[in-house]
Amino acid sequence: MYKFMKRLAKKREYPQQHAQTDLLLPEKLSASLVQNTETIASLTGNSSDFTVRSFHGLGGMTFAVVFIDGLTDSFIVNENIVKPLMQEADAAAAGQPGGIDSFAFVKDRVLTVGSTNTIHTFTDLMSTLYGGHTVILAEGWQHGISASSSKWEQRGVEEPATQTVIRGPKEGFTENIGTNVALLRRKIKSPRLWKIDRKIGRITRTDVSVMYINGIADDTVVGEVLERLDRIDTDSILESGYLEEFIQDKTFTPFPTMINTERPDSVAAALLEGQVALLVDGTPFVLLLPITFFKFFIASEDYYQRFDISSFLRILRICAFTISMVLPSIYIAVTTYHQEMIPTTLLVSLAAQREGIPFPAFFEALMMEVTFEVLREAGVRLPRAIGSAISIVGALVLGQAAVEAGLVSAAMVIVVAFTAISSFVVPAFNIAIAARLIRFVLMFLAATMGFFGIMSGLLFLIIHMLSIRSFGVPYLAPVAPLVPGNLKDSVFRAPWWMMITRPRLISKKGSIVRQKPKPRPDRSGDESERKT
Amino acid sequence: MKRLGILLLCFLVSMLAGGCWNQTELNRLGIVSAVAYDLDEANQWTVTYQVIIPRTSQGASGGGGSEAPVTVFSSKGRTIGEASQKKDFETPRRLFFAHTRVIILGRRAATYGVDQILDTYLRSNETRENAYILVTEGQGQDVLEVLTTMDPVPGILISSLLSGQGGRQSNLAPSRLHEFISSVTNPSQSATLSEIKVSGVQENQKSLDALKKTRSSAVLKLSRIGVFKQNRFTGWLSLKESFGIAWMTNRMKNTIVTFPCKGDGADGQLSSFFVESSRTKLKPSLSNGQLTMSVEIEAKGSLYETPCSLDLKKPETIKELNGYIQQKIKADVEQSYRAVAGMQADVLGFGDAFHRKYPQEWKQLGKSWEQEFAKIKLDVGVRVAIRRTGMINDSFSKISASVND
Repeated sequence: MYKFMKRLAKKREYPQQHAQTDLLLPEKLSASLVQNTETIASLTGNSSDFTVRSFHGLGGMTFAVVFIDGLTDSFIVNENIVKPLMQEADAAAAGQPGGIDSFAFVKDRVLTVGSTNTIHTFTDLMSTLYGGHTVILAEGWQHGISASSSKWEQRGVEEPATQTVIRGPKEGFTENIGTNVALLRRKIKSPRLWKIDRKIGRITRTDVSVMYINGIADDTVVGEVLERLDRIDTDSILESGYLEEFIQDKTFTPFPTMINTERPDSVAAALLEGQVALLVDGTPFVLLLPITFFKFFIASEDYYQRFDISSFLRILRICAFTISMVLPSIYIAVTTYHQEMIPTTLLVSLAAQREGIPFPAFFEALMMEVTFEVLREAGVRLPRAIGSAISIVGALVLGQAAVEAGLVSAAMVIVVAFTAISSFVVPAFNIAIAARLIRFVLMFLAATMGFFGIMSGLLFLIIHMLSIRSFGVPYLAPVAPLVPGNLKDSVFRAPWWMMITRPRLISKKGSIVRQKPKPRPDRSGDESERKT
Repeated sequence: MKRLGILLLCFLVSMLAGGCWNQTELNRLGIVSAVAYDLDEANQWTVTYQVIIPRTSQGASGGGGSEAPVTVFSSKGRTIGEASQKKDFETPRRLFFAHTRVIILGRRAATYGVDQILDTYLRSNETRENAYILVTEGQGQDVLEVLTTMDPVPGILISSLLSGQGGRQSNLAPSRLHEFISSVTNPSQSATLSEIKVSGVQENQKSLDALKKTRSSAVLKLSRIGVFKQNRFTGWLSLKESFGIAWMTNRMKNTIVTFPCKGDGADGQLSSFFVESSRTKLKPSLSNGQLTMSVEIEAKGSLYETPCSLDLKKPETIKELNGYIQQKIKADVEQSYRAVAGMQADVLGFGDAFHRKYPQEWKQLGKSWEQEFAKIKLDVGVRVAIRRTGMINDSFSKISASVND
């Protein structure tokens, strides 16, 4: 399978060379306006949204403004670029003594926009256009001027749909990387929050930002991330999932080595722990790395609620994750191999339910699990209006009718339903998917070898997890290898004042959150007051 | 990556070549709730199985009511193995013994000896050593045929009879298989087993129609205590005689002691004392060849009932009652000892006590312990404390008398 994939990867090299010829641009802007506009037209294949407006303005010169319709604010283009050039520039120039350098004059005195840049090449010109800027060209100029005028339709900051909380901020990332960076800047008001930009994807030129807090994040991890990003050679990055597959440590594993989140507060917390965030333009999902296995069971809410309930919830989540992985296989093993482990009355009642069921327990479980997976997938893909209809059908078909028809036993429905619900408890969706896949393997093992099979499967799984590293950090970090100091924020969460050091393996060595002991009310003052 | 392929291949081969090991679906399983062993005159073993029918023993999931919750069948053979092999001609399901709660020995099989039965039990990997073992006067299979009302499965009913009552009725013999085995293998001690008996007309209780009546025509009852010498059944101890055994072996937890409230011989009015906790110490002594066992019993409890007109607020009255109870317990203990001494069966663990205290002398004593046991001089000391008199102080008869005055 791996060889086949390698072969696939090799085949991709052919269109690469082809793509390069596409992007061959004339190097420099020329002094001829007509030539420049023609070059733009030929580069874009006369796409109609590339607007080139030619007019006469300052001193009777011929100007052209170039912008992409839909990415620019027409008000700014009209009022701050075209209008001053056509009407007001002459009056301002009249007051100037002697002859004027039209290029510097336009850039410094005429354009009333926030930022301007000088454009030398067509590559620059194109990339500024895609950024929503307007480029001003004129007959006789060797350079162009880009003026910021971007404005496009985008979703507002809304509550994230995938990671809702009861207590905590309700804002979520959007598809715009600028907005996302701003959301983070508002949370961490420190100049140490550094941002390194890359453009990845030969055709899509997607903006990717690596953000970390200098002095907290491990420099070697940041270096490793940048190096892996630079190694990516692809023509498109449309979602952070693309990046994840390109830079992850291990491909053949069901376990993800990065967390994705829609929540700025989660990202801010991760940055403060020394993790590195990867923001990709066009998706609200931000990647966090390096991570450990136990991070998947941490919801951002854990830090906003009291530590005792948070610890309880984390244990609950880990239990639910384990249940979602092993419950059907345990049921299969117990009912087909180890009947002596069930209390007599329960065994009798289970046996009564199985009377007249034509299939072996394994097949019964497989059937129900597949049915549930189908329903789940249908629920995600269906138009929202039909969703409720499917849930009714699902509940009736899965629940009642199948039992009454004697296809499956009632206990099996309970097992499958509980497994399904358990799989939704884990806050990180991508680890729940891993459990889904492992579940089927374990069911097969349970059907062939009983508990022995399950145990060897789990053993294999643990060995496999021990071999995984996320950017150099062992996957099962605070537990194996044992880092006693980090246990306070793994399965349990200690109160905030007890968490003095940052996670050792993730952040820079010796990174300390706080040095003072727990703040206590000043009792001595009270007593002296009482005495007097 | 070649390694991964080989690993995957090994995995698949071991999965598929292994087949499904000893997989049995639940509906291919005959769950045996009780087994009875009988021996007929020709010394042929009859093994009787009581198999649960899950469909009907579950009230909730329908079906129940028209069919019996269990089915009983027997197979014969010269050995237990032969008998159990023949059962496969009869049953379509694999009989599953891990949930067998109760083993019943017929009187004749018990008298013949339990070695063979225990041997098969210990050899099998499916059976459990914490099953209950009981002995019955007649045929063991008759007990299994009786349908019961409180629990649809008779085997489960018998086991809950023993486990549920064990806390309250201490005059039952220890009946777990492993307890029985450890006392059978003790050379100086004799084992005991509780008796299960069918009280009433057994024939009428075999049909499901019998369950429709409020009063069953036959019920399963725990009764006497069967005494085993080594591996053979030797005789019965009546309920009355078995009472003292629990005192002497320190197994008495809760019981009711019935005593005359004005001392022996007085107008026959009887009161009850409820024992809440008790402790017994055995102190063996040996002087001039005379074995003496001093049994020191301490019992604490509350007054359960009294018909006599007593002023229970006075400590003297309580003290007096304590004395009567002590006499009664002492009498019970002595009666039990006489009964077991008559059988020359040391069910009390006296042998172990002497062995521990006099290891040198035991070398002689142990050789003829059964005779020596019967000659022990018993010295019973009882200390009783009535700690509570319940929700009222004076007896009701005294209260009503004072109202009439």
